[in-house]
Amino acid sequence: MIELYACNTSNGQRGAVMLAEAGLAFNTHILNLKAGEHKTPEFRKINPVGAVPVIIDPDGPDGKPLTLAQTGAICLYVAEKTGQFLPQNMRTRFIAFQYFMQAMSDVVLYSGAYAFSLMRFPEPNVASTKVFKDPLLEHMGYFDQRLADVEFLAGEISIADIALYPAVNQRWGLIEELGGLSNLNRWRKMMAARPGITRGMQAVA
Amino acid sequence: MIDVYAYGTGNGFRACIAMAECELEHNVHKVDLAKGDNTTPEFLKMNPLGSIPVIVDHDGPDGKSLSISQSASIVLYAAEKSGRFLPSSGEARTLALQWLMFNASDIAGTNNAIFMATMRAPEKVPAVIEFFEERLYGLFGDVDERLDEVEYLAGDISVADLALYPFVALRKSLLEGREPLTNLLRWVDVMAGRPGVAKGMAAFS
Repeated sequence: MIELYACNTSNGQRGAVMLAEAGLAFNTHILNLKAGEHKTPEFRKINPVGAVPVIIDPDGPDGKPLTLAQTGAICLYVAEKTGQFLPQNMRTRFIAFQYFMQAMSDVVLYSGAYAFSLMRFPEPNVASTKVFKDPLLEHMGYFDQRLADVEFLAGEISIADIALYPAVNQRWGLIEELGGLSNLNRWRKMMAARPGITRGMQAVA
Repeated sequence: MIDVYAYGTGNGFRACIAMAECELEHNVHKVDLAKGDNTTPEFLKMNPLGSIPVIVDHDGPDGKSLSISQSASIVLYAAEKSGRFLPSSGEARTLALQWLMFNASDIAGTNNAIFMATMRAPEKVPAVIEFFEERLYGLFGDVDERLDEVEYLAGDISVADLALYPFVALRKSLLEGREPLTNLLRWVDVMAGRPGVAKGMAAFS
């Protein structure tokens, strides 16, 4: 049984959704970030950096227990461990990596930085939110364009879709301001209807 | 032969270093972001997002040409193609991917947030810039702690080191006048002394 330490952030959702979609059994431990539960000495023994999500797999590589942090690394690990969500065809696999990295670097960056500017500057600060919000929506528009041609980002479902979904779900209100991202909306609904997504989202809710 | 379209940013150097270190035959084409070379119709045909780096491998999977963007996926591609800098299985692979994702999400994301807040914001907000600079310094501190235990991020040199180096090299000023991160600086010297890293960093000189 895998132990998942997470909270209800988009990264926590990614970890939970990945485990659920891969059909792995896991226990969820919810940490209260506001109460600093991720910075306690007990938690720092699990992850010295004090960040969530983290998983502990008693049946890790080489048959030894593994403690693993970093959302993206957890997605890659679970995909490789179960042989799922990584396309077999090498060409498709690298397309999946490309969209996965776009979600894990660009989208996570702009979405997080946008939330930070809003939190830090409750008064609308056009200058600072614009440099984060506009690029975030630009990326969403790009995904929408891509999804006009294909059902899933890499053609077939992959870690790229799993990494992107929580961000689209979290920022759907903003995305709707753009109007007409109908391909992304179709994809969002299709993803939301998957039992693994539902189970993962509920695990950290 | 691989064509690399890049510029002298952290992400651009990442691709150049990966190609050079993996000793893949490649040509670097400068895409001058300051001149808007990334917004020409030709470039947008290659990457509709208009971001660098992009590679075109004329000898991709199945012997056909493959174009991919996203610096971290390019590093992965170079490693898998050459069979270097990424163990094929086991704990060592998981560790390398964990630190690769740390660099792709946290380090590059925070670095890009500083870039956006300083270079792209119509009005600079010192508190926002300071927040992201402090965060980046904190992340460099996490790396420094890690490098107190091991020579390279994943023990042996890996994709994680290749992906991190340019971001530390370009943000060296952030380390000045603060508590010295001696392990990180030792690692920077070792990395800088590698011919492949030096070749990648000199791609636009």
